[in-house]
Parts: sequence; C-alpha cells; structure tokens
Amino acid sequence: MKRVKDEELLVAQLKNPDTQEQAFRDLMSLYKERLYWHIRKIVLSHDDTDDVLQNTFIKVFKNIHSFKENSKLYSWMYRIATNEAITFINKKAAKQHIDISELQYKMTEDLQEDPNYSGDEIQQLLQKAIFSLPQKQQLVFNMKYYDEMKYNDISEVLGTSVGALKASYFHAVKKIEEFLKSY
Amino acid sequence: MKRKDIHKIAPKLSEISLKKTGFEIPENYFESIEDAIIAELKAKTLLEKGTKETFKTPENYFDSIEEIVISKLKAEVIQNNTETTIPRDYFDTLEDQVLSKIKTTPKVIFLKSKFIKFLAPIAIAASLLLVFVLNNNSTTVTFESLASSEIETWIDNGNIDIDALSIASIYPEIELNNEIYSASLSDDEVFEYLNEEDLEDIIYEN
Repeated sequence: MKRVKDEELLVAQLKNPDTQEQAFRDLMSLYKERLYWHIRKIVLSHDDTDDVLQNTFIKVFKNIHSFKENSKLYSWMYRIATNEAITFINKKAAKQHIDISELQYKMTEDLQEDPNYSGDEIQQLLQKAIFSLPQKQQLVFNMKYYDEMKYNDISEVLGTSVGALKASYFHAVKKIEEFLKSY
Repeated sequence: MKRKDIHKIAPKLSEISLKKTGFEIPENYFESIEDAIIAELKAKTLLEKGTKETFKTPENYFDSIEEIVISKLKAEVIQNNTETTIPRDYFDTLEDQVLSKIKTTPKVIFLKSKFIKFLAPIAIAASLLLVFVLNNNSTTVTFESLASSEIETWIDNGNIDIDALSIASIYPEIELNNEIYSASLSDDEVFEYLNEEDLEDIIYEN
C-alpha cells in the first residue's frame, strides 16, 4: 500500500515542472539497477546496455504525461526498457545484414573478448542456451529466473496472459536443460 | 514453478550459480548514471528547443502543404501529357530542320503551259480590242485643241529641245539682247524666262 502511495506521489512530482528533476533523480535511483540488468541480459555488452538504459530513462521522462497509471510505474518502465533493448538489437542485426539468431550467436562469442565479462565456460554455455530460445521465451526466462518477477507483473510488461507465461517459462527451462545436457 | 523447484526438472541449470553470472560493470557506474542521464536529457531538450525556435514555418504552412503538393503533381501530369504530343527531341532538331529546308533549292514550276492555256486567249482579245478602239478614235489632234496647261506640262517634262536661236527664228519681232542671245544661256534659263512670262499671253499675241 505504501509503495502504491509512494509511486503515485512520484508520478505527480514527475508531472510537476517544479519538482520533476528531483523526482526523476529519485526514480532513476530506485530503478536503475533493476532496469540495467534486465537490459544487460538482452544486449549483453555494458556499453550497449548503458546506451539503452539512458534512452529508456529519457523516454520515461518525456512520456511521463502519457502514463495512465493503470499499470504500475515500474511495469511501464520495464516495458519501455524491453522495447528499447529489442529495438536496439534488431537495428544492430539490420546494420550487419544478419538475423537476430545470428547476431545473438555472435554476441555470445564476443563475450570472451569483453573486458566487462568474466563468466566461465558454463556461464557462456548458459547464455548460448538462453539465446537458442524464441525471443519471447528469452524474456520470460530472464524476468522469472533472474529477476524473480511475479507472473502478474511480467504479464503487464509483455502483455501476455499469466497462463501463457507459466507455460512459456516451463518450456524455456526444459529447453535450456536439454541444451546444457547436450554439451 | 518456483526457483527452488527448478532442480526437479532442470538439475544442470540449477547447478549454475545465479550470483556469478560473469556480467560486470565499471566501477562507480551506478553512482554517476543519474548525472549522465540528466545531462543527456538537458542536451537533447535544448537541442530540440533550439531547432524548433530557429527554424520556423509560415503560418498555416502545414494546413496548406497537401493542396500545394497535389496542385504541383497535377501540373506535372498535365505537362507530361503535353510533352507526349510532341515528338521526342523535336525542339533539339527544329533549327537544323528549318535550316536544311531553307538551303534546299525551291522546286521550279514551269508556267509556260499555264500561260498558254490561260493568258494567250486574254492577250488576243486585248489586242483585238485595242485595234478596234484605235480605229474608232481617228479624230485629228490640232494645236488649238490643246489646252495651254497641257502644253506647259509637256514642256516642264522636258519633252521639247529648244534653244535661243530657235526662239529668235520663231519670234523675229522680239529683240534679244546679247546677254540673252549668248551661247552660254542654258535651256533651264530659257525655260525659267518662259515660265515667268505668261506663255498663254505670248501665244495669244501671235
């Protein structure tokens, strides 16, 4: 209840020109890490994540007046972050004239050279397993397995029913397990 | 399915550490991210504001742009249709075509046959008419029947070759002084004199 009250107050402050800068700082402080990791699991590289995160917050700031408050603020921000991240990798693939699956394979290979990545072989294998899933299942798996989001919240972010999300997550886990077993 | 139950269906996955994902971030990244985003936002806002204020459009520009574009398109279609009625390269070759036509020798049309066909009968008829008229105008022209003005005109036109000697022989009673009689007296001077005297009076005196 308190969180809802806090969120309502924060949105009101964001819409008020006199208080919006401080409110925006508070908003970023509150969600930056969660959004960062959500984006990072989609685009992998820190630099790309930084770009997408900044664009996400700028979009939140510019569109706060169109936020209807029917959904939770953080679900709305997650949706923006997800769209920004997917748009980013789609553009990246288009620039390189390859499809998303090819790009994601390349991204996991590039991790070995990334100074901001220290994962071992099994971690890289897990990443490859995740990227072998359909895009929607990747998102569901990340949000549920890593972020431990509730299905209702994921449903708000992705616009998919809870039942479909549960099935999707189950299939994702099974496929990853099979992928890991095959190595 | 809760995470603690993952090992039941995915034992391999559950063995992988959730904490050590391998993804790292630069030191103090999260401490400076707000300032970086605020700075970026201000720069973008300033840029957009500057662009909007610097470049302005005429009043109602966006209300009339559709009509302007459609009018131009229609004009272009009409122009294209007009162009299709003129042979390709017509205007490029026009000068050469005109010049070559000028240089070409015009075709000679022989009028001989046409002349014989149409003019000869007319000429014959005209000749016969002239003979007939002349034969009927056989009235004798006398000096008395001429008006003095006709004679003057005839002399003015230079149709008479007369000198002082001729005048003296015609008019012996007129006393000519040496000056007048001199050979240096030109025809013009004589005619001037005659013009000054009333020729009609002179004729009548005789």
